[in-house]
Amino acid sequence: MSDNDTNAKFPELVAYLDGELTTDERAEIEGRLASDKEYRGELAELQRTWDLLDALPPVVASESFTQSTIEMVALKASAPTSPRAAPIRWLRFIAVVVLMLVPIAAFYFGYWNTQKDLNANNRQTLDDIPIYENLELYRSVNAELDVEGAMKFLELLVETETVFFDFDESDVEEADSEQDSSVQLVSSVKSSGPISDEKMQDLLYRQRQFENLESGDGGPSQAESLRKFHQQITNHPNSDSLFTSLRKFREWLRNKGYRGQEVIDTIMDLSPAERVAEIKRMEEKDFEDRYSRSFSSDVPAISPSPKDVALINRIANDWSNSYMMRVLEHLMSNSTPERISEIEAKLDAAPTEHHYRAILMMEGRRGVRISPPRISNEENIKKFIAGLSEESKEKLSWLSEEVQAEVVQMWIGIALFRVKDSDLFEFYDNGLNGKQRNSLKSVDAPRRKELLIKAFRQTLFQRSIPEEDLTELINKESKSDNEEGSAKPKSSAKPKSSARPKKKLDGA
Amino acid sequence: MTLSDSTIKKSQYYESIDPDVRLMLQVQADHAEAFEELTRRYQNRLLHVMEHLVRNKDQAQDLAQEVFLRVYRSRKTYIPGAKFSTWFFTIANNVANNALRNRSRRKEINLNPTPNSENGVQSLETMAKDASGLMPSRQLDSRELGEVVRAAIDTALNERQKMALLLSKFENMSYQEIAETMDLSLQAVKSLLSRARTSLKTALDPYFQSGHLPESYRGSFDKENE
Repeated sequence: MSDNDTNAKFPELVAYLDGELTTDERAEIEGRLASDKEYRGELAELQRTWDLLDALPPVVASESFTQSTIEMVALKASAPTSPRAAPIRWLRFIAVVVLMLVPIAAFYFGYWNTQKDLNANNRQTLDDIPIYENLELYRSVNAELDVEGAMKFLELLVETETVFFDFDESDVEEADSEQDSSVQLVSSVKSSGPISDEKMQDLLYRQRQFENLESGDGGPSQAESLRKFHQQITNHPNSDSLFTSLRKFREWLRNKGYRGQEVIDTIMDLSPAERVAEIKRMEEKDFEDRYSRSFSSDVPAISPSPKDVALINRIANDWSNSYMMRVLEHLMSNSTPERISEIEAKLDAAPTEHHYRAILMMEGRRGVRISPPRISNEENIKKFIAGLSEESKEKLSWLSEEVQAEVVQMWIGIALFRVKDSDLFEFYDNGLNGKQRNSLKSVDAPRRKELLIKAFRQTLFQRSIPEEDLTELINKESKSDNEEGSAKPKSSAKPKSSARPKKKLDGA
Repeated sequence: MTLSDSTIKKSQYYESIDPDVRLMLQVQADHAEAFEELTRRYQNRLLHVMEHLVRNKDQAQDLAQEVFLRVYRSRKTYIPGAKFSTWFFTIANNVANNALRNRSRRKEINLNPTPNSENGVQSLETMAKDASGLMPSRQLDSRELGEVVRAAIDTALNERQKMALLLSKFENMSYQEIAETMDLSLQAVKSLLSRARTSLKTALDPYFQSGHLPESYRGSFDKENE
């Protein structure tokens, strides 16, 4: 199709929507919009089309793409320029090698226990496989440069109480299952289960990275250091705890992300003890920042002791479950059994944050307010406070019982709606448009984060999300109850898109 | 290399306002981590554009790597004369244009991907045929809607329109920045975008009128409800 195939009926409207007109031109268009229905209709349709582009699925590069790009660039940039680079051929080459390696790896693993005649190189490769798999983990503590320092750092992390108090076990496990497919790889190789090409590719990339470390200029190579580190950490009497701390540290680094590169650089230059102290300081500051931000100005901004985070998180979790149950009950009050199971399936499948959106949208549209479950019982509040650390109790002791109850409920609220760095980065990449990203780039990092959190919360709790199943669900429920119009939505963001689908969900 | 005062001022200005420019200057100073960071920052955005332009995931990755290679090779001559993203997508536009020219000569890529093809995109034409079979239809869910929008872009827009639209929507570039990136006049960008958005609106019209999707398209998305 050539550019000329479709002639815009009102070519100036797109420029108007894009804010690319002069004041006079804009005024002229606005004048016409006020009086011309067709013109207004066209504008609305164009805006709607524009909004629909948000439905495009995001593209997320795999870790192997990043690695292969960096490696390819390193290789190619050092080679003389060829008329046309063909990096994908390089990738295909790797793929072929991978496929060749699958039976070889299976062979090695299968015969490891009984073999007597593997040559030294093969044996070394086999020994190194766990290191390839943990390469990023090990390198996150600079283990390739300073084995003793890395070990000392991990031991200190294990000894120091509540360094990463925002990460509980499940956070780390979740992150690991995403990131470190390597662990499963070993077990699948050992159990002779199927290994996907992708996983093998991953291993291959790590192997190449590792081999690149082999060529040290005299002295022990970095690869040699990693072997030593692997030996020490696996043979350490406290090996499991060290690994847990290592994973938590890596997850913490990952949450700081590339935007916190300076932070990471600073930490890496410190001695092990200073590094732990600095991390603790940063964590405490983050924690303090978060808990001193109260939802309501009536509640004093007092933060709990970091020691109580696990308890508060647990309560928040229960709270959220019970909140959901109440919402479900409300949604289901007028529904058929089929409809109920449909709603349940949808809610089960939706990410948790959508539940909150659903609640807020429903509240707004139906004019119904489902109060969040609270610890309304005085005795329960006392029990909860009794379970807190002395430090938190001391802070609360200055307040009246009534205010104490408000404060602890606020803590739970914050834990319930806490914003993790990783969520924030995800939101930065996928939840903002270019203009918003650009405006954020012009402010300094702490302010940027503050604004980002604000925007994130706003999106989470106030904006209706178009093209979302749950939006449709809520629309339908509102209609069936004939309560629409009794209250306005909390936000009018993109009202057209969210009002779009009117088709029945019960397909049968 | 001697730079004029205005070039230096411009360069300092962009360095001060754009963190990506500062990152690129670190790449220029051969900081390996900076290049990795730059790759991470831009890879998703670049792949998004490339996948739309070439409609083939492998080739999009191939081209994206080519772009990063060119960025790296240009590091020593890099002078911040614009926002980094403008400079970056100028390279991307050149790489994509070359590839598309070569492709049109070789015709090696399947231009009408089937639903089972790599992208999983069914052409609007096919969907329209299905729809005309008076099959029961149903509401689009967000994933399906994404596919429909993607198919609409693929069928209704040419490569230049796609590029301009994606830069405008997802990179939030101004017309001036798009003009620099695509080496067009401001007026050309204005009419390119106007046509692109009107074409897209026309292509999507039946779908957001009814909000329905043909029955035959349903299978792959609906298994869990059966």
